[in-house]
Amino acid sequence: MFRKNLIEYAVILLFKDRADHLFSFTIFTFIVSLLSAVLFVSDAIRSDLVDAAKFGPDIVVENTLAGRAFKLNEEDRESIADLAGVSAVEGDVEGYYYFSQQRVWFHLIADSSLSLREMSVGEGVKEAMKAWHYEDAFNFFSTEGKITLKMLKTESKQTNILSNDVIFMHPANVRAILGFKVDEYSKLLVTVPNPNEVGDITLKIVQLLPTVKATSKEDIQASYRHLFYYKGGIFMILYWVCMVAFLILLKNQISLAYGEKKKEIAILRSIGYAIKDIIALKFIQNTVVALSAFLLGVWIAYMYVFIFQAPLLRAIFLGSQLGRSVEFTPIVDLNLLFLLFVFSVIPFLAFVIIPSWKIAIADMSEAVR
Amino acid sequence: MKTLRLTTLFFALAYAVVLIHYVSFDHRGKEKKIEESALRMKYVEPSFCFKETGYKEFAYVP
Repeated sequence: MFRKNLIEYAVILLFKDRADHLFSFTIFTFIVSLLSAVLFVSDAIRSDLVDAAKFGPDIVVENTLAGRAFKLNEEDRESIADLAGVSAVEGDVEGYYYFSQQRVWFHLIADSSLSLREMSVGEGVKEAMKAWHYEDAFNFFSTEGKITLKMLKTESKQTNILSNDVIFMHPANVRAILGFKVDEYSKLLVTVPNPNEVGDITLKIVQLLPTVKATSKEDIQASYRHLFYYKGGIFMILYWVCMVAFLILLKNQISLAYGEKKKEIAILRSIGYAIKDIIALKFIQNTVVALSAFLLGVWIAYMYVFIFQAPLLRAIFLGSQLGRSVEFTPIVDLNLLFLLFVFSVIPFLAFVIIPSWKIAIADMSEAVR
Repeated sequence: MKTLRLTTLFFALAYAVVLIHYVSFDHRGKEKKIEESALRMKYVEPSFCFKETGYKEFAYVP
């Protein structure tokens, strides 16, 4: 495609103008690293949550009263179970317990596999309790008095994304701590064997019990797919930083074709270089810079996110309240990386090749002057 | 050409590290752990941070 000596000459010119190219290379690498890191972190979190939501019930029913969460009762459960197409309705008890010393809320979840005196806690909960010297057992205070539960085990670090603030305990303990009676539930989990009927049944449940909120599995998964609000807040700041950096980069690219370089192009033309040779020269030089910067940027982002677990950036996605370690699952979305490649490399090349071509076709005597 | 060859070699090695990390990561093991946790929780909610202000208004009215 390109002659070997043309490639060699392009590389020599690359080294000659190394200050200009190094600037472009650094800025380009920074932009690609930042955008790829955001992409990797969000994809890793999203993929774990969407995977977890697959195992959830077909429809989740929650009650509200005056816009706040409210209990559901046995009658509600039975009326939903009577709907055609519903195969089972399970009443679930869960809720939040306020740990006043640490000023945090623990998420209590019923797990009938645990005994009455035991509980299993997430990593964050363990740390919060440990800060107040609750290392083996914890006292829950309810209207019925004090309930002491022994810490049986800590949930795996790998599931921190789901279980960090969670305490699993026997359903009777959850009821006692949160003040639920035997026939009261916080959520109803509905099983619908035919996936085509889920939408209709969700509507029927809302018609049957107007104060409830029924959410289908698809809606839950969709909400996790759009978990991060990219159009606002900190993401907008990141995009602006990238945009400004990219504009500086493009300005630097244009300057690579003017000034001294204009003269250089004119001299090459006058000693017999064809227009296509000039364009090839600029193309080779800038492709080397762009490809190297892109590959290095993606590599830095991968190492930063999946090997060093994204220090600093993690706090933007997960909150900074906890000094916990979340293990990001390596997920690489090649489609988005390709999109990033197209929207960064092509303008980068275009902003130097088009001005160079314009100079190459202009009157040489004027360019040399 | 030597410079280009060296650059290519550098990226080949760098991406080999990435590939080794990606392949050696226990995706199946983590999926299994998440599955176990999700089945226990029945209804999953992201546990990014402890609920604070949002849940100050969350109350079960007797």
